[in-house]
Amino acid sequence: MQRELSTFPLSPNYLQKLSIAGYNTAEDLKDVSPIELNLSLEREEALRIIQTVRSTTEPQQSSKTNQITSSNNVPGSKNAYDILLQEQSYGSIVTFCEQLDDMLGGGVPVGKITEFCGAPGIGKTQIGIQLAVDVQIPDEFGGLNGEAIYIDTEGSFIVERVVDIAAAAVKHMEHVAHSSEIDETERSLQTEAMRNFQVENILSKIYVFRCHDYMQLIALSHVLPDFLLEHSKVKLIVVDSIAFQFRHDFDDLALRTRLLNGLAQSFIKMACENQLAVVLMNQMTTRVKTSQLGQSHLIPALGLQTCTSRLHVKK
Amino acid sequence: MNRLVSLSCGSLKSDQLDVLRSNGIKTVADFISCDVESLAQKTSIPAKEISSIQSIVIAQLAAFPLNGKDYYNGLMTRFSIFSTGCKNMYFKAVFVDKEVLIYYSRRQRQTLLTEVKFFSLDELLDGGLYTGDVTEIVGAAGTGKSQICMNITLSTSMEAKKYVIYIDTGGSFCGERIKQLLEGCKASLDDEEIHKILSRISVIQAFDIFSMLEALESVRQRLVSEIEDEKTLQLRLVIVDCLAAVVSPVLGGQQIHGHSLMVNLSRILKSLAVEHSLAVVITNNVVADSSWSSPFSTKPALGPTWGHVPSTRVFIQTQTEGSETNRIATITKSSRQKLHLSRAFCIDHGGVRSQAKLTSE
Repeated sequence: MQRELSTFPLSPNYLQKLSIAGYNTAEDLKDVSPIELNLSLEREEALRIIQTVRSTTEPQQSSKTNQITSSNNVPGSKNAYDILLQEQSYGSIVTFCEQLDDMLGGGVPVGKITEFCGAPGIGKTQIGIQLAVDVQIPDEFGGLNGEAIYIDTEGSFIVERVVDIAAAAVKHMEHVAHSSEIDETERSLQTEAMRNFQVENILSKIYVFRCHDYMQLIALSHVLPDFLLEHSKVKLIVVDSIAFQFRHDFDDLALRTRLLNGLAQSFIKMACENQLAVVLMNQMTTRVKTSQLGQSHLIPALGLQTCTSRLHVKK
Repeated sequence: MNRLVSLSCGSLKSDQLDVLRSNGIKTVADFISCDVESLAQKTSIPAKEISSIQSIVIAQLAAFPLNGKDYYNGLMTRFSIFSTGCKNMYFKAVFVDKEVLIYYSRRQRQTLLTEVKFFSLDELLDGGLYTGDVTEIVGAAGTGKSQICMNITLSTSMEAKKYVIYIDTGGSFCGERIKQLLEGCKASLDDEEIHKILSRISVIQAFDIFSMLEALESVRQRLVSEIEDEKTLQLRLVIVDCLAAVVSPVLGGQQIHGHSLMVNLSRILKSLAVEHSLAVVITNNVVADSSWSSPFSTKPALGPTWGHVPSTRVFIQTQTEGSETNRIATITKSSRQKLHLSRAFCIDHGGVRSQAKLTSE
């Protein structure tokens, strides 16, 4: 079986030109030079097409230097043991609520998507802000010492509230540093770390993106990987909320599902590649059961299916 | 179809090729389907020559007939059934009397079945996961698809000692959970054994359809090239969890290309299963089903075209009764098993376990 050119990430325009010229499978492009390709395309474009096809079909040649180590593996694969070790080194973001942490297995996990859903006023935004502060707890206290991205679609990010929560966190950490029974060197390390864990510093390490419509949100999901390259310390992305912009002005519901699925895939990609936690806030919707007349219950909106763990917040 | 080059049809000279191309004969398909007489007139290549080259090319392209007996013997050398690793709690099925593999002689059946234990999910799948089959697990979020996948992965790696490739599209593969399952199965294991078992599992993360195709293609390339290492020779299971997550963003609406990508994906999965005799397990999401005829309120995502791809389809539903969640697996497509057979199972610390037999059958 030969691999068709349409399975490569090439634009439809190129694919059509290739198909007219009779190139349909990867095999056809094997020994063709960019000049021979002759598709009324710029030389550079032709070169790019050939490179795209070859880099994926002949991976061994490009990585000849580390062939000894990687020859046993399918490119891009990791074995489960390495993943286990990696997971153990990640840590997770504590919520300061012991029961919630226990439920999540030690806190909000890094490298996964966690969804919080609940009715309005239940405290989803509060959880989001709390996490954006908690992710910054210094290493000395067993935290992640990271930074946070807060994507605000509802306009509910209240900076005064962040100051309150940050001040409380600082106070709590100071208390921990003074009261815990540890030796002097560790305590001095902790007091040293506390110097950088102050309200202003905490605020400066939260990057807020305000998205007014779903296009902005999708555009942001394309820009974020570059932002994350520059800010490698970001360990948390909070999207508050994923639902809001998708719940109005949509005639084509299939398109909505498609966009949401695409969005979820780009978030999970960021979570895995940059080792960060993604927290999505979701709204609730009412479903009326046809079988039981008059019965209705609340279910998470949008029918998202990609999150790794989902928490249902109730009163 | 391939482009017409002098390599594929050796007797065509390069100047003849150029003439053919200028007459719009660019691919092999164009060449073998053209009208010989009119082409001969246009190109001044003798009609006899064209038709003789045509028959050579057709002979090269045609599939070879395979003797049923040889096919069977070839299949049996690599054939295996893998347990889903689903453990029993309430009953122990006696599998010696069970007439499952009626096509195999009694002796072969004995050797085949010694390692297969009929516990609920396995029973549902008529023994377990067959190599050569694409098995699909369908269910909404949180029904336990990934848990079943991890269970299958571990049991194949631990019990059958075969290599597994796990393609993860949603970051749902969890090393900690695998370790937990392992500890649930065998309490005392030293680090070396754990390392051995876990290193038989390769995980590839693919977040879009192109990287998925690339991953599957590279797996296939390794199998085709017949590299003599254990990892390729002993590879028997490929898991894609979750397939719908990468396909659904490109499917539907005005995007015709997405559909072709999906069909290409199904071709490569089928090829892995049948030509390289691997057991392929994929998971799929659900979408709301508004039709009245359906027994479920949801149906598998990806539409009717995809429905032809898996040879076995297991539908998982959850029912909440008070504080307890019951998980029910129902077979909705199978070439071996009676349809709409249901089994209840639960997922706990130690993995997937079967529950007491359902009365409604």
